[in-house]
Amino acid sequence: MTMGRRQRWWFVLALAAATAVFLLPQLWLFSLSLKNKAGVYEYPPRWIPDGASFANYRFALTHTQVPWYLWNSTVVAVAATVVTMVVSIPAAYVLSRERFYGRGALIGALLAVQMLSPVILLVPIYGVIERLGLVDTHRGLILVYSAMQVPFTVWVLKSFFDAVPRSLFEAARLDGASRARTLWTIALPIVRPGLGAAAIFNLAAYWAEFSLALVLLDSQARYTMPLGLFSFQSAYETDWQLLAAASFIGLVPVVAAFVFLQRLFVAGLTAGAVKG
Amino acid sequence: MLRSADWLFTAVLFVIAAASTGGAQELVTPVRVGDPSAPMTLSVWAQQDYSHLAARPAIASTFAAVFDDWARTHRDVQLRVSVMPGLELHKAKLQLAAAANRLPDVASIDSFWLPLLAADVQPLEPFWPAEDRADFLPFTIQTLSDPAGHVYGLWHETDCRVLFYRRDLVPTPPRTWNELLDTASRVGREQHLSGYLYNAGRWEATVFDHLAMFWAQGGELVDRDGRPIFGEGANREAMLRLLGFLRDTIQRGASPRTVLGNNDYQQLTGAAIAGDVAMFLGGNWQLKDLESGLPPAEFAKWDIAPIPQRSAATRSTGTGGWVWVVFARDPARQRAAVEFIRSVEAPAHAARISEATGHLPVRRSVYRDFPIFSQDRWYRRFGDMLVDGHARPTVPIYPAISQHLQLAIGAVVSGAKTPDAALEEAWTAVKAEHSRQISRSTATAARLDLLAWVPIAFAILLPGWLLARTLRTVSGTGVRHLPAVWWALPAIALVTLILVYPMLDLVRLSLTDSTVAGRGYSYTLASYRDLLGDSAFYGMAGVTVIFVASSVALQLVIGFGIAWLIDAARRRGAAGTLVARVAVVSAWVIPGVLVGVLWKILLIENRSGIINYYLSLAGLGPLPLISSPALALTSVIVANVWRGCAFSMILQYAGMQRVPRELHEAADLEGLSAWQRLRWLLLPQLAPVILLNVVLITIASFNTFDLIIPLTGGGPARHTEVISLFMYRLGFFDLDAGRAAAVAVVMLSVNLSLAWAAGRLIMRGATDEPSLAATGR
Repeated sequence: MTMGRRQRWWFVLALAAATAVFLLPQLWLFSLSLKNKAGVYEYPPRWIPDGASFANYRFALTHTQVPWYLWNSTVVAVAATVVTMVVSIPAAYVLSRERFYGRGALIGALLAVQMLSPVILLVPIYGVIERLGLVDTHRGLILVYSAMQVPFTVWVLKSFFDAVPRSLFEAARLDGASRARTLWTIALPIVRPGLGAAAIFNLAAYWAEFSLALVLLDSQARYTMPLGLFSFQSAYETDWQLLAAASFIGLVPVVAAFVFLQRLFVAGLTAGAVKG
Repeated sequence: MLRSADWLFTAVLFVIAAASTGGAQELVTPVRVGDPSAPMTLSVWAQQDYSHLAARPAIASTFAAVFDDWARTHRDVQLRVSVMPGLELHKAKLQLAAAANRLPDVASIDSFWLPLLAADVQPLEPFWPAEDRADFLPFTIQTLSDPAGHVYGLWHETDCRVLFYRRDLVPTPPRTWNELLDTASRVGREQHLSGYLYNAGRWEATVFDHLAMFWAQGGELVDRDGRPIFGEGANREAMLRLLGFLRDTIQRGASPRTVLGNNDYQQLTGAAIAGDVAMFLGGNWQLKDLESGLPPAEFAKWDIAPIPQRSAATRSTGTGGWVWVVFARDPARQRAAVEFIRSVEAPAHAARISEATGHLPVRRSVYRDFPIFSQDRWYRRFGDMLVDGHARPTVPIYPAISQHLQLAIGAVVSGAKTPDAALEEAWTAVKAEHSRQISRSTATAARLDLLAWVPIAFAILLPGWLLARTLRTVSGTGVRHLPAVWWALPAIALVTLILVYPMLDLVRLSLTDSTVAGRGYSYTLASYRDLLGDSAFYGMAGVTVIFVASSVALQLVIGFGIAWLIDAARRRGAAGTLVARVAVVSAWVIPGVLVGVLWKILLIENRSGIINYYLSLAGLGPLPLISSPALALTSVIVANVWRGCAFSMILQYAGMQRVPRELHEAADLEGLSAWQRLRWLLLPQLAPVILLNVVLITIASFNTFDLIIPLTGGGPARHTEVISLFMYRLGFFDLDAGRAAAVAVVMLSVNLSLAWAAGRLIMRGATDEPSLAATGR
């Protein structure tokens, strides 16, 4: 890897330019969140407003329900991720390691179901959750979210299980270990990066989900972050500077989670992908 | 686990409450109003800007005080207040709740939704004395009453539409359309700003704001029986004149085409605050916004006038407003609900609330007894205008009329259609919808529907069949395999319940004429016939193809490009690639609706919009980024690509890590340039990943509409209305579950064929590429 220093600079420069293009909209959002109402429409527009302050953040955190929304989103996203993982791990494991009739059909069906957008199914899904008596509960939302990501998660985990060297399982089998024991002591530790990758993908999907939460939740006390943000928009007017501040608050946990987990996550996808 | 989560939540709330009150009993908390030990709990679905949860401090504190007054005197009742999202989504939620018998006890609704909820709203007069009702403006009682004299709602505030104008630019406000056109085009030309702005985007106000100009000509939308008549006789002439006037605003240069992007009153206020407009057609509450957004000297330049009409002798203004309704069926709860409403709307409270919200009171005594309303120059004049107020007809067909007139106005203003053609199209569509409504209302209600069990049976039989086959095979080959499929059972069960059964039920629903409220329907193929016979559908299919193809191509190329840059930079030992990844990914984790709002802010078409500002500096703009058909579609695609690139980037970056190190080393030995390496090494190696990526983002783009709703709402006219948005509008705006399901089934078939193709490709790419699927969303 001894390419010219000059060439490296070109790459860094191009990358910096691409990064800037992607960040500018968020920076403008951040700039808005520091302004007051008049500043939002100021002409000429300014990136760093006069009297920039964190007043909107203070207001969002102390005078609105944003902290609750954060808490609700955390509960729902974490719980749904856990359920998804718990349901998907054994399914992925047997689909990867065992041969049984209908395996191919199941794998195909999972892929097909992965293409379903839950938004298309909003009305029938509402019917199901209503009959289960779970409308306006976090449990109902968690149930739907988990199902939404199960096909995808099974696919991810299966690919990681596929990559585990066969010899390890043979050894376990010779030792007379049960399937559960083999999964727990041998397979799971090896695919840990895969678990991390699937978890962060799921967390991010649940964190940003809006349409299902809108339909399935009625009570303010249970609203998740995207729903809470949307209710900042009133029928007549929206205070954009406040919405901007609240959006940023909502962005921080999930981006932080990504930064924290991305090493694991990219390494994970890679590990799953390099198969002998 | 969930129970403990709930418990923990309660504990946290308790700590917060305790900390904020210092232990004192708080009667108004964000989710509970009243004494927590009260035996009766009423649920209330309120408007954000009409509750103690308002985003504006003045409104929030006013309601906190008003609710506190109620709570002190009503110790036996507590409320659970939820804020509903704006307009259409609130309406759809009410319909779903009605279908499921889950309506709240009390709700605040837009006055024109009443007919949609006619079966569920309860009469208020048993608990609402006639002498108190007499204090309300007559139209509020009349609109909400039935012929038998029952009153189904309490109008809590109203508003009216007015012409806002800058006195320094327009010394005498125009009274007629011609004066308006002359003045606006002259001032616009001389001052280099927009002469006259109004709403022409895809939303309710586009129609409602302009109905005053129709009513003032004597036009009527519907007859006494609720049958649409706006396309007949004199009404048709009046509507054509209105559409002709709107066309003239553009042709005479009085207004810019950017009005097509106005789907939010905020954009009018914004243009005014940015000093970019001389006159606009707005609502009375915007006065407060101008006052708070402008320095006093600037605000002093603004004044209001009645809406200019075709003839100076006529006057009219649309009066909207929100209404408290009661859904509780139990008399004791009804009584408590009405007492709550009446307490909130008691004259002293109503006066305080109107002062905070900037809306107009509907009680005579408030205008009479509270000095601000009788003496304040603004309120006095708004009060005068209310005399000419005209409410929208509370008939079931109105929402459809509004939808189609929105399209007509969009088509005329954009110059795509003549007023005649646009009106004809709207008229045909509304008549068709009306006959659907009639046939639906004659269908028998809620009988036992055996066909409804078919999807359930299928949902049980499909996996059941698979399991049975599995078990049978197993019994032949030995017991060891028996439990294997059981391990997949939770996943199969969950997916069957939440995804497969709803999908089958959707197919059934598409064969009915059911509404979202779902009472009484019959089986019919009409939805498919209408859909395939609707020329607009093919237009939307075209928009969808452009949207999907451009989104996919750009997301793939840009995502790949960034992944390649990151990979190449990292290989050369450059630092800082994490920043790049985070930048791209942070766009991806923003909720889609918010992406739409963010881009709408960036793309604002008056000079306070940041992108147009820089375009102007570069001498390229300002450009109609939301209001011109081609640019609007481009903007929507750009926003979607911005959001979606992260997905391709992650996928391609992961794929690049799979390229064996030896190949890179061989490339080093050969001395390949970066470009040669890309062409001869990376692309061939990544071909399967790229293929999968294309399939996944094609399906994702096909299902995308979330960011389009706030950004353009599908407008101008239908130029950015993709099929998934059309489906969402049919289901959630028009509440036509049967037709929405038919569109969904069509979309689903396309999705499943893509899925099938993907499955084939991946299966063929075989077991050695299993990780490719690992990155689907």
